[in-house]
Amino acid sequence: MDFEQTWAILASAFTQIHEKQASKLSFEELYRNAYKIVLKKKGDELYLRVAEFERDWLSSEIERRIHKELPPQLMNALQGRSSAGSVGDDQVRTQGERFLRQLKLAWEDHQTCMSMLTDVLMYMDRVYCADTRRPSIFTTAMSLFRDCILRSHVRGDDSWPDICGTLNHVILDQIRMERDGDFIDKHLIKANVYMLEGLYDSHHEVEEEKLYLTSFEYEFLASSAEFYRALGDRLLKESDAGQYCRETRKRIDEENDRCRSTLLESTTPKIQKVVEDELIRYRMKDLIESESGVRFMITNERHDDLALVFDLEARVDPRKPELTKALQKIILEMGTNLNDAAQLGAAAEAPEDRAKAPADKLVNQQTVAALKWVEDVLELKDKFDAMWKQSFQSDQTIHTAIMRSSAEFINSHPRCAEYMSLFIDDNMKKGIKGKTELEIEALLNKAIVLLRYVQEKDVFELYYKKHLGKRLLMGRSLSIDVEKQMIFRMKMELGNNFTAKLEGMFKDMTLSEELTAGYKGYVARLGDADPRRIDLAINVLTSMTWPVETTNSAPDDARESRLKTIYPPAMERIRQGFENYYKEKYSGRMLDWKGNMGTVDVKVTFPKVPSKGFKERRHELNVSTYAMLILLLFNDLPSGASLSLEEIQARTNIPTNELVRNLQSLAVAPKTRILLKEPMSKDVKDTDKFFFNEGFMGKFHKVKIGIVSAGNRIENDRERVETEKKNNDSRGYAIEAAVVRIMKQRKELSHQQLVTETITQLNSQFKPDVNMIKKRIESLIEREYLERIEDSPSSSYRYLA
Amino acid sequence: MAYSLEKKAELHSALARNMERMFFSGRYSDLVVRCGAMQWRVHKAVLCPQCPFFERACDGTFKEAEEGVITLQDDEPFAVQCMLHFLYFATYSDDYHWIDAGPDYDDENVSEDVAELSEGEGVIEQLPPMLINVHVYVLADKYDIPHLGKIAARKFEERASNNPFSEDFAKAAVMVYTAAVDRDRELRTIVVSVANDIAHNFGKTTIGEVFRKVASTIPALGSDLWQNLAEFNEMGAAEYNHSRCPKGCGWFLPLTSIAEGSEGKLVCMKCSTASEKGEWIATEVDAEGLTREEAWLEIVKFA
Repeated sequence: MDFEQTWAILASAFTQIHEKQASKLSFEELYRNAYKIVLKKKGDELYLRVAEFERDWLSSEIERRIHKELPPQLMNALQGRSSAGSVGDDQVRTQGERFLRQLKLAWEDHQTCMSMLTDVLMYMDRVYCADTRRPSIFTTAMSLFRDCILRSHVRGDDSWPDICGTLNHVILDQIRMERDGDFIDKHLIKANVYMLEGLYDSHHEVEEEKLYLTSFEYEFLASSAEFYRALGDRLLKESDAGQYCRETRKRIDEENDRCRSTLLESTTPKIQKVVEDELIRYRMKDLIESESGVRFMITNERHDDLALVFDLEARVDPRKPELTKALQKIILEMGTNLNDAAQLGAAAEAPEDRAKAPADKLVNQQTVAALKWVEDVLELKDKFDAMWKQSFQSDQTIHTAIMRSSAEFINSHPRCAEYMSLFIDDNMKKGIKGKTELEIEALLNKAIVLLRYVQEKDVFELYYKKHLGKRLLMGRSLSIDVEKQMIFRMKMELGNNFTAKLEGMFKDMTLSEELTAGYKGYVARLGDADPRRIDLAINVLTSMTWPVETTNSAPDDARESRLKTIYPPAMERIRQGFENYYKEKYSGRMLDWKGNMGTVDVKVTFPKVPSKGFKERRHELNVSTYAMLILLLFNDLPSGASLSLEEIQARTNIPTNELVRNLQSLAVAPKTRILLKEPMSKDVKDTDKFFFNEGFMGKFHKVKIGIVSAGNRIENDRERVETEKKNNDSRGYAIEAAVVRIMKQRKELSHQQLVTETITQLNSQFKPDVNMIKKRIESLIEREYLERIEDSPSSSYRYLA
Repeated sequence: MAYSLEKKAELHSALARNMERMFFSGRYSDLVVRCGAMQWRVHKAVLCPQCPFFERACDGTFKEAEEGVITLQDDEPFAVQCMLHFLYFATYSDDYHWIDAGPDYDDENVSEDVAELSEGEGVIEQLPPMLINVHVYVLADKYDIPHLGKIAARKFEERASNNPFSEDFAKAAVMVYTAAVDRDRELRTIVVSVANDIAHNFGKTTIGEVFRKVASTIPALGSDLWQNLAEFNEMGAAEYNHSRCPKGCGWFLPLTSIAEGSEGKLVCMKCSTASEKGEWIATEVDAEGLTREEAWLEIVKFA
């Protein structure tokens, strides 16, 4: 066998194959010849000859064809060396497409021919290449395409980019056109992309060295970043935030589509990141803070736009830091506005009116403002809750942010706990009237939700106890059932400790009912069927359970509190009677009577007043226990006689402040003026004289004489200071208890750790003040519960058993 | 689809019968394979999946694809038939049975009837089966049908070891060492091991003479034989290494297997005379001093 002769046969056949005239060739003949060459150990030479053949073909014929499609205009345009705008976009585009088509054609031809050659040279690949570990002839031919075509420089000029670079330019140019809204031939580009995907940067065929990655993709991403940076700038300037979001989404979708239809899907995540970086990550802050940003959207209820903002930021960062930050800021601002409004509302007319209007009126105003504040807070919360569900996909991070900033502004209001309790109080007394169960349920839920935000739970408990106590004792609650539901919810939310005392109050009420009934039966059994017997309804309150205000009648000074109220004999008898009955039942318990809390129905007969043409009138007056005591004094007084305030006090021992208040409601309030005062004025002075008003005229048989400001309302400043003091005291105890508990368990602990643990333990009740903890620790050391550990590096304590 | 063994066997035999009918009748054939004076009407569906050569020939854009005829020019017709047979039945027979089925092939004739030699082409030289197997082996390599190569090697080994003293074996040895297959040494190993088994009789038989000549003309064969023997020596009769024939013929390595065969004497491979073990003269050259090539030269000198 002669090699040259055999090769000549093959070479001429290869030429025919490249010229697409293969159908006359016999596969068997070519295969056989190649087989023979390899058999004769000439595989090496055959291999080299084929490679040489391909190199010649590519760099003469094919290169020429491709360079023909690169006219100078196109090259200039691609290089940005466009000559005086003579070349229109359209022409560049057409020329670019022709170049792409030619390159695609060349590549596809090359592949077809090479796969035919590979078939013919199958034996060489299998035997020679395998034995010598050479790449298959196909692989080599593909590298040749890369070297001879893609790496060749246009017109052999090194200052021009090579074909590969030119290809990048053309493709990027086309993509730019498409981004600007033009239609382009996607299949054409895709074919060229497949070529880059099929070739490698070097003869090591590793994934990372695909030409698509090393040559094209990098430039594509870089130019895209540039494009979107500019677009971001323009959009921020020209359109509102909603539009920006919509545009961004559209662009991201477009890029995804482009990867699918024009480039490669493996680029999708990378270009997405570019768009996300340029249009979202680097812009989110500006976008959210822009004039039409999140604040605008919230104010104008643009739920869809908010959803878009959320969606965009969620793409780049699951924590959504910018949106979260903005939301928190906005909530805090809105909340602070509410707080300010509440304070303003409370103080609005205060300065000028203080002189004229009674303090009570001011207090009422404040109460209204307090209730409004709670309503507003609820409304704000509802608004953001709705937004959270509608626009933010009920996202956890956002939820936390809303919660946190809500809690922040709510707690920044110094009287939030009191306001919340007042809000519940108001609803219990009035709000739930005529509401369905469902509505009440919703209301209770709202109350609980608000409660969740309040940090100083202990303060809230204090107020709630006070308000609840008054509601219970004065029968002002519309539904004990709802009250109990409320307590149950608190229990669920805050735990047993929190509600134990509140539940105790309900228990007292039930027990008291039983006692009253039991006492009635007891009296009946005594056989004392006095028709003038006074009916007694009694509430026995456990002193530790009920708020201190109820059990101590807020004495002005200590002396007064020691004085015992003097009851008239008829009353005193009943009092004794009940006390006996009670002691029989529960021996060893002290009963302390609270005249300031009770009410009495008194039947009063007003005499004829001929001068005014009045007949004798009977009224049933509902008055406080103290008022009753005062009125009874006038029973024994001749008509026209008077008593001074001092006299009344001396005969009843009613504490001054209570006395003044009761006299005010009896003698000053215009509709319930059972007594007349001299001189007639609003204030009650020690020297004022009081007369029985024989000429009282009431429209109804029953007259209720309220005590001024007996209802639950916002505290005045003095009361507040007191509450605070009380609260601080109870906090002090709580802290001491916690410290002792911790030290008992740990025996020795550093100061820092002790403080931290104490705060952790008490956090559910209130946020302890570090100074207060320090003071309490000092006090415990003084009382020898703890001692300092002397030579410890950091200050530490030891528990003394 | 879990079939019982019986069921499977049944299905397989049914399939095999179908293949048989297709192959022998040539019905539904869509491809003609020609070789020499022979032609077979075959089926692309059978050939192409098993053989890349046929696949490319049929799928490509060459003449064969268009005409539906593949002519195998250089190959041995009967070996080609064996190859086709293998593609249909996963085995072949190396006895001569020409199959040149025409369209009027009748089912009745399948079982025992064998096709006849193609008329008109005159006499086709009938190759001995042992050589046919070598040819088939070569085809299996050429057309990339590895399993066929295995079967051919096995059949060759069987034929060779059953008939080692035949002239066919010598011819086969020549062909194995001169023709295509140089890569996996499968046939060479067989040749060498068979030759080794009969080597002690080389001196007494005509075939031995033929074989010796063959071995001396093909360096690769001689070299393989030498190596095989040397390895054997290392295992069995190390003490006779590098001894020279006492008759002075120049042969210097005893063939150990021979030694046990002739009443404790060692037979010289060159002059075929038997000598007592002790008569063999230890040589001065040792393992390091005598390269394989030098040893080989010693062997070929006398040929």
